[in-house]
Amino acid sequence: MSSPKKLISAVDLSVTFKVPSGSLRAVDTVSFYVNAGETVAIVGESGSGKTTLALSLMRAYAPTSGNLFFEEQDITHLSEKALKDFRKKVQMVFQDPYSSLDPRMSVSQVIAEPLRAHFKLSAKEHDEKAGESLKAVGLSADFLNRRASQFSGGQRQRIAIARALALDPKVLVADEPVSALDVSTQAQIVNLLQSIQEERNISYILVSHDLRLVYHLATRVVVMYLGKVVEEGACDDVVANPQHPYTAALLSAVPALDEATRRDRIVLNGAPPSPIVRPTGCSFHPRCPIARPECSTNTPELQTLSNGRKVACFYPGELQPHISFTSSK
Amino acid sequence: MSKAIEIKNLVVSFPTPAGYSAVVRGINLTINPGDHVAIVGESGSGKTMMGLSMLGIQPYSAQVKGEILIGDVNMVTASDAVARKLRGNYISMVFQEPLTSLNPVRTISSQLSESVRRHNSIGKKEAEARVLEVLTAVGIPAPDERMKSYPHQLSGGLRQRVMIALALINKPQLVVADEPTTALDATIQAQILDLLRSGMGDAALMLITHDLAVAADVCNRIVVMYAGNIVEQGPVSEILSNPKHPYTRGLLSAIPKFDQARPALNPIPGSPPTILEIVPGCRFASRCSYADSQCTASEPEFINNIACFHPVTGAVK
Repeated sequence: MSSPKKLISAVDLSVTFKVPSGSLRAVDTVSFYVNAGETVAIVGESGSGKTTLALSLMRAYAPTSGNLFFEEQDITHLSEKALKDFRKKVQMVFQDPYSSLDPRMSVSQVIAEPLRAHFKLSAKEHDEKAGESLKAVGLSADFLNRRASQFSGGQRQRIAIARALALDPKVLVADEPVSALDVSTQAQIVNLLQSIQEERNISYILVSHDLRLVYHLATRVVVMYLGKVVEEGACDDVVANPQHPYTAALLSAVPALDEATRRDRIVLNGAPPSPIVRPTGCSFHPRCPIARPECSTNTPELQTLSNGRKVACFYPGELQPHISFTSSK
Repeated sequence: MSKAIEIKNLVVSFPTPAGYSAVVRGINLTINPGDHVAIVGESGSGKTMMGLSMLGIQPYSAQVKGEILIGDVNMVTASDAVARKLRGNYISMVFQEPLTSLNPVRTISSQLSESVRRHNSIGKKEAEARVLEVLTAVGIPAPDERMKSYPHQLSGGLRQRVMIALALINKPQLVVADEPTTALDATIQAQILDLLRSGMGDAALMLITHDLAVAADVCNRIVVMYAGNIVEQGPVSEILSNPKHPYTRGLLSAIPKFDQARPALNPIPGSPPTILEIVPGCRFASRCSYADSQCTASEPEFINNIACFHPVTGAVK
């Protein structure tokens, strides 16, 4: 088996924003990659930089430092014109299908808009392509002339996915794609995303705070805290044996149906601090249940453990959550 | 008082081009003192409208019928003056988004003491002492400092604690919390769930949520609503281990689990009926795999804690 092909990769990527009180390093020296056909999840809380990282992987933000590659080509400083091919191959699905679809456009216009931006097609070809896309997400081509506002949340998210698929992209960035939907509809969209991936061998970059969803969909997971990667590894490994105490706390915080998980829950104190005024040493130490004095003075580097696991902690694996695994076998 | 609240045949309707259409369709529900009851359902199930009606703060266009009994007061027919005396004092509410529910131009202390002083004839000093007491009780660090802050100066988690403090400040008998953790991050949600579970004092809690796991986390009884009706209710352990209504079972099996085999999820097909749809028979029938001609012909009554002609037994896989 040949080694998997890296589609998007970032090396020491940083994104800094200017704010009135100084500068905010939303993404801080992050290295990241996604291989063809795999799903990489970026998890963390608000302010962790997960969405900024995802958007800068799409070159929606210009990186402040570091490099960004697509299929081994350096695209860090490419002009918008030169990026046109990249734009075709990387598409996005947003969280809220009530605000990501123009209510005045017909479904056909919504889906054909990216096509119009990249190809010269006749009206008939537009409708054909849009119809195909709509079928791929399990909706009838009869819907083409209706407006987005006539659809339910789940149907709207299908339309948003159809728009993202219209250009036949290689990478789909999905930022909380189901968190605005009802539980019963969430499962429909999750299954749809899985079947699309099987059919098209498309890669997903999944941004989510829902670790049950991440476990279900992702092959690899990257955990972020205050702009930095604190843990990274194969999804199975990270969930079964989290190395960073923050990952352990996130896993433990998942609302659980079973008593044992609730009883042994790790509840962190306080909220993530401001990324403008970072704590000294390890950014997580003020909330960390296992912090030692040195954690407030020394900064742990992201170190590589066995089988590609990475963790930035002086005491990896010390804090373990109670998680109830189920088995359908 | 023997019951915190008793709801009898509650109907909440809204005007539509085709006449009034009900979003809450004849609910009966009793909450006992100190009880923690979760109302679980999807958007459009009527759970929020029921909650708002209980405080008499439903939208102006809503038509409310039936009885909402707090002691011998019926909130449906009570005068504004009577309802106002109960609201914030006997029954209070925690909303989903604390930033839009708190007044941005007034300090935490001023908003909380307003509620105390409205319901008790006490001075400013005494009211502030009570504010400090309740802010401490809901776990706000440095409460004497924080009470001087404005809402925007607090984090989302602290703001939600302030909302809960506001709901608890007059030691109510019942707190209605509508999706209180949906807008919060995972680790903050865990903190607030802890507070709702064990920090409510003697108050009963009615938690409105779409997440069965959140319900199980905080409550001892679960009431499942679908399209304006209660379809099943029971103790948490019973609902989770042996749900009988196909809708409850559907909700449980739709949640992703930590399962290494990653079996495909089991969504509930279709979507709930809209307010304009006239559905003969059981309102869940069109999405239900157990439905037969009986289900589309007549509507099942709520008997023995379930409204279904074909209740199912056994655990959900």
